[in-house]
Amino acid sequence: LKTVADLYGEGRISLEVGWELPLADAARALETSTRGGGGTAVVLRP
Amino acid sequence: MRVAGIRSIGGAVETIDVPDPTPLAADEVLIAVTAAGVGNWDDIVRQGGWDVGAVPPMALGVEAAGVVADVGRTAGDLAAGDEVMTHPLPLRGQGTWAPLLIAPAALVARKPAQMSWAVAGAFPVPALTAVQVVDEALAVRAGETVLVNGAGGVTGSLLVSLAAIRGARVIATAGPASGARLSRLGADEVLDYHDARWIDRATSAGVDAAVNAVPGERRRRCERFATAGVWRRSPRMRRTSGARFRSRPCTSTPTAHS
Repeated sequence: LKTVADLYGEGRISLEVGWELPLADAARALETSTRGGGGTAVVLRP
Repeated sequence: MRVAGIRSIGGAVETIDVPDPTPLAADEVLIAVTAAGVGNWDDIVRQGGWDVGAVPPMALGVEAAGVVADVGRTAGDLAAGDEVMTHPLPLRGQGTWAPLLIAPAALVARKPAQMSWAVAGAFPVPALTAVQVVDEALAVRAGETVLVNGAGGVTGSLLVSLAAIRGARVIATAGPASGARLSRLGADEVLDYHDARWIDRATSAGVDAAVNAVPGERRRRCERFATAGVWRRSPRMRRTSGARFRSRPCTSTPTAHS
């Protein structure tokens, strides 16, 4: 994990988050993720 | 504590109460979760297809980022207040869709300062999958041609980036909307998967290794993830159109480290 974290830190790889949802919306978040997020990730915020 | 998870295998995802974290073992850290990633693999856990070390009622989630709240006696150089991320399998208690998470210190890495909390929460699983596929399963070498099928997704995009960083010529398949982005990430050629001839076009280019990042495709062959299956051309096979590949299931193993 550190290897890829370092690559991110050097600006050589990237990851985009498309959805940030609260825990209460976890079911919707999972549904969104399984549909495919168009290249963007889904995260929950406790 | 209140978490997002399931009461039984196959059950609906809902907000449930589970016991608070237990006292830390010597090698563990307690993380106050700031963001936790959600992926198609979580639905495999929900349906009982991937044993992550916990049983319902349980919080789902296998990756997270947060702030270290407490450390065990042998937790290395981690300390309360450190900003970290982790893919902490097998789980030590609950999954990551929770306010508090116990993780083995050996599976915790520091969050880069410029990485947002949201990105850090969603980073561990796809990033580990990508680096393990490119550097270990395929052992990509500079000058080889690597096909990434399903490059438009999060894991697929990271696979394209890493293969390009390793010096490979990268052929990606994706929808038209992803073409420009994948070219910026290092793809030399982007094939529209809607075109039925994309396999012929890819193999005629002389592909040395291939990885599938389409969720669901070849899923039965994947022991744990639906996100990556890999193929490597046999050394005895000639570099010709339509050459067959040896295939193997995908892998992604929690590795650390701070």
